[in-house]
Amino acid sequence: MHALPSGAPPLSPAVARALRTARAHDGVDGVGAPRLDMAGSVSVDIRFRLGLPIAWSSAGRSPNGVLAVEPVTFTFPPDYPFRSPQIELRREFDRCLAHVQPGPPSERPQPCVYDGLLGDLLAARGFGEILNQTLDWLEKAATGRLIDPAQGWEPVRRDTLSDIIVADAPALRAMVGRKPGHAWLGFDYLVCGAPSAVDVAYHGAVGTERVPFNPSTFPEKVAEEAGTDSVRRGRSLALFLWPGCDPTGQPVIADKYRPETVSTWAELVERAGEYGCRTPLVDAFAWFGRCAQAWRSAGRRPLVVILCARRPFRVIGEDSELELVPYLVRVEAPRALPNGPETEVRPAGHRHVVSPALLRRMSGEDDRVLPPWTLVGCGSLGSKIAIHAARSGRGPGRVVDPGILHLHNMARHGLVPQRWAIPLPEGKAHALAGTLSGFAQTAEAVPRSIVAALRDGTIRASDLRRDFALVNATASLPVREFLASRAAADLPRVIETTLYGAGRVGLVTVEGLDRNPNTADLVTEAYAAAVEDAALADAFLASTDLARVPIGMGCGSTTMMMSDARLSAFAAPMWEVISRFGRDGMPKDGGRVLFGTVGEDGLSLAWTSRAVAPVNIVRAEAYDGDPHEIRISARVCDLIDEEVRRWPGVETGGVLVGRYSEATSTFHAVDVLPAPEDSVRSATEFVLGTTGLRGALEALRGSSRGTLYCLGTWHSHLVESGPSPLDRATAQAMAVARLTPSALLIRTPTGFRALLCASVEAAVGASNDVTNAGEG
Amino acid sequence: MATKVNLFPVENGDMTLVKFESGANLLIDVRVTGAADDPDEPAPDVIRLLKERLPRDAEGRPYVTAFLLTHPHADHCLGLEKHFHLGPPGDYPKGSDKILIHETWSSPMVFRRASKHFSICADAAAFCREARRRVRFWRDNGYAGDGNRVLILGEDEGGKTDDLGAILIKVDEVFSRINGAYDSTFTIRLLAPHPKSDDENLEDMRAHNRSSTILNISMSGDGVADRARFLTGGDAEVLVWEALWQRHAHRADWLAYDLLQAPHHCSWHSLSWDSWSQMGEDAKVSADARNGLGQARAGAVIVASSRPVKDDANDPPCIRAKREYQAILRPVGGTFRCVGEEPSERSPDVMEFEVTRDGLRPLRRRMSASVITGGGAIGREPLGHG
Repeated sequence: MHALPSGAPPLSPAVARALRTARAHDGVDGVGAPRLDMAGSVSVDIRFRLGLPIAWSSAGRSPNGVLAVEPVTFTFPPDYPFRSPQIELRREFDRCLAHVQPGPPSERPQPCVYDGLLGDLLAARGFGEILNQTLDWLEKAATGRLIDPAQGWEPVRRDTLSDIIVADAPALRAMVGRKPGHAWLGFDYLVCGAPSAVDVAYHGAVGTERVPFNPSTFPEKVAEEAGTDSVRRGRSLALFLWPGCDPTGQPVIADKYRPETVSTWAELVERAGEYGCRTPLVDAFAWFGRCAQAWRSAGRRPLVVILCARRPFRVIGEDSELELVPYLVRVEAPRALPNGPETEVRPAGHRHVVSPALLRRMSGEDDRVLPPWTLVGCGSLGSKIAIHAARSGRGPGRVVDPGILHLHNMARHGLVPQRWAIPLPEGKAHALAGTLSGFAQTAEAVPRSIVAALRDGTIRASDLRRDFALVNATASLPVREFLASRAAADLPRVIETTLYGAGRVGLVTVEGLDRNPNTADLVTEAYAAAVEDAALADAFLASTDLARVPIGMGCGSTTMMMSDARLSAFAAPMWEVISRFGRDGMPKDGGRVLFGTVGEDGLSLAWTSRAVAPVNIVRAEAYDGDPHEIRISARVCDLIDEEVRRWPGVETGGVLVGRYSEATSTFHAVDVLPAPEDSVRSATEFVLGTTGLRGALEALRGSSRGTLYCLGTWHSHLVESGPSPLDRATAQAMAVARLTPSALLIRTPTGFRALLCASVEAAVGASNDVTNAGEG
Repeated sequence: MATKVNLFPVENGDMTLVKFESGANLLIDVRVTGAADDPDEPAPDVIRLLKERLPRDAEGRPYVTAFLLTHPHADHCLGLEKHFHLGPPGDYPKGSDKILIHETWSSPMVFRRASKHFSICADAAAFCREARRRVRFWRDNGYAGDGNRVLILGEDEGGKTDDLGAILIKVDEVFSRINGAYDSTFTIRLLAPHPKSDDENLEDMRAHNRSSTILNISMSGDGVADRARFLTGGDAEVLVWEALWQRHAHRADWLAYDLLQAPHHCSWHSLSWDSWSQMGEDAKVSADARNGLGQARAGAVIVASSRPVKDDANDPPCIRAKREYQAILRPVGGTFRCVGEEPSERSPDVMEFEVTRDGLRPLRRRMSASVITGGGAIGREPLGHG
């Protein structure tokens, strides 16, 4: 390195600008002459005048040795500003201050001035901000504030590590007691590097169960695959050590930041002493050494040593003051430590095991453990929702699907095919549960239809009691009807998620308190809502886009064709809706119907939500003992009451509109048609006219694409009375005239009464004109 | 919240905000000119700079917990009426964004009637009216809330403060309350004004400057009491500093400081009876005044709240005064600074100090994103996630 000679190429404009910026900075006392090295980097010393407490400033340095005017060398690489400058302190600068990059004592200490990539900071805020951060760092170093109790204890910086140890920190911390101690744990690893190589890297996971061993069992505890592969498996041991209390009974607290300098076994023992775990290390390793005497190993094997340091306050990013500091030493038969106390010890990196808590943290979720939920339907939509959930640490506790995961499902299923895997057909429920286990989340796999599972007791009501919801992603009409038919006490609230119209519309329905409105009421409300919107009606109500797709010779699958991307575009917000209800609680004021629709550009997605009030449930009287329910929406009740008020002193009535479910023997009334003009109203009877009625019903059939139709009639009684003989005669006549069952609803001054108009014979041929199934 | 002392660049004038660790803040004097009143004016918009540092109440109104007018001169109260709400708090004009004063601190001068020796500017008159209104409110009600509270610092020679009891602080007393509440993060010793002496022949400017309020504010740092002392005394003249030394020489700690605001914008008249412009280097320093202003602790900082100090015949700021202050600081390794010179004479900025458990420290200005260039960035860019 030498000063720029005269005639040397001028500084690059970016470096020149940086130096001008430095000269203009209030905290910069002076900028030295730039020096050019052989690689084309430019180094320059920038002297920072620190805002030290005035008494120290007059002394020229802080008590911990930071100078009032501190020189810092900035080295600008040739490709600056695409790369950030390197920042180095004086060689004598105290490395025991936290936030110094790890490095050998032969190199000048480098401050870690920014919690992130310095290159990003440079690009986002410019070189002046790097100067700001450097000044901040120096001032904090001088005043001993680099470790900020509010932010947490800075873990020992150890960045350039070749060995990675995955360990369940909370499980290890749970072993720590008041007395110093140790635990021998399993260590399953992959070793990377040829067997003959000097430098090999280890990547492994430490178990949480204690592993006892003695000289005779020792060899089986420490073993590695033979062979010449560059990646081999092995198992060994990990020694976890924790501190106890000092002679006065106070816990040993390691409150001095020490940079990572351990490189030999002797230094490791010394460091363990600083953390208060020297005795357990020496004692435990003595046993290891004795067991290793009879061991015949073919080479060196890894032994993990994890020191636990108790810090004065919480470690950054953790909710504990216990810092785990892992090391790796390669042991060999028969001496265990091939070079005695000088045997090489390497600092190893710690990685958290994947845990729901870690996933929640990464997802920006709070750390509450929410009630579980059950997923019914593990197809393309259900699997994607489940994986979104699992990635945020909130996966389902139970997955239900009788289907098999076929190869063609890979077009859109949330699970990813495994390399080398023989394409064995696997149940969707088990396949999904297996993937969820990779997210450290346990889901019970139920490889049956929900209908069968609830009927035969595979899933009992008590199993579902803790669930906040049962998510139905089957897009199956029978499943919906079956769920609607179950008693409120037997099921958690149902959230249904379905796609329609080749992925142009997504529907989410959420049941209300005590499952009122229920999942079938809500879908009928969705039909009624879509009638008002022609585009929605086309995509949703006329959804018939199922196609037969060949999936093998002479073999096909009936499905809704759409891309995986489109499916994902809906699955993500659907999980957002579910998780919100899980987090904030299910609605207390009825149910919800949410529509997601893709805009004309094919990209934008808009969601609307509407609240649906609880329905009024009326049991219909039937001659033949066939129990039926009429579930009347709050809106229909309001319309009927309004009509009754319009005709005081006489009976009035109209036509009930909605949907009939044969499977559950239920009328879902969501609208009324007014009585035709030729209807006759008197104090004793109401006779429904016919003028224009057929046309009105045809129009409804058209606008609702056949999803809504006449369910029967309603009329009022002026006094509190049940069906009159006339009503019964009318019902009988209706039953004969209509193939489907019909309802005859009576509004009395205090409530509703109903008659069922159906003969067993007639009901056999009833049609159930419901919209086609969507994709699930 | 760290204790901070902010000195605003108001040329030859004072405007100092002390923010205590408790969150309470004390504004000492104001002088609003420049961009606050004329956007084309290059001088800094000190009202914007002030408001950035002030808390706002539930209704979004900026407020100071207490405002002290050291003495009724325009260079210490200019712009008060325009930018601060004076009058009953209920009359606050909505949407005006005026600064509310929860408690006024004033010398007993507000009780004085205008005379040949006592003519004051409109802002000072408005302040006096406001202080008298608050005293009346207290007399009528026996209590007061935010926007009506008042403290009178020093007794009136005419006996007008005799009945004030709870709202009167007597000279030499130490107090720790602000806006009706005890505050553990500061103590203030009131050193002046003293009741008027018999010398009635001083010219009117001198009369005012003699009556400046002088406080020695002891501030906590990181929860530790008395980590720094700030001595501030408006425009107090040589007479006052001589008197202070004569009274307190045996307890010089009362005058000890880590931060001193050089009185009267670094005027020679605080240190000498002679005229700098007429006598030049022959002018003599008053030994007592120099002692009064000379109790600097290790590393102390003396700040001239003035225009840049030039080597010329001007006063204030006076180069000779600066040299004298530097001489005071030399043995303790202290620093002399001028608000009007930092970071540059062309665009001076707020000078800030922080009090930590290790004592007073100057805050170096961070470069703001708008002036940073380099790395290709001008301004700032959002960082995304990839």
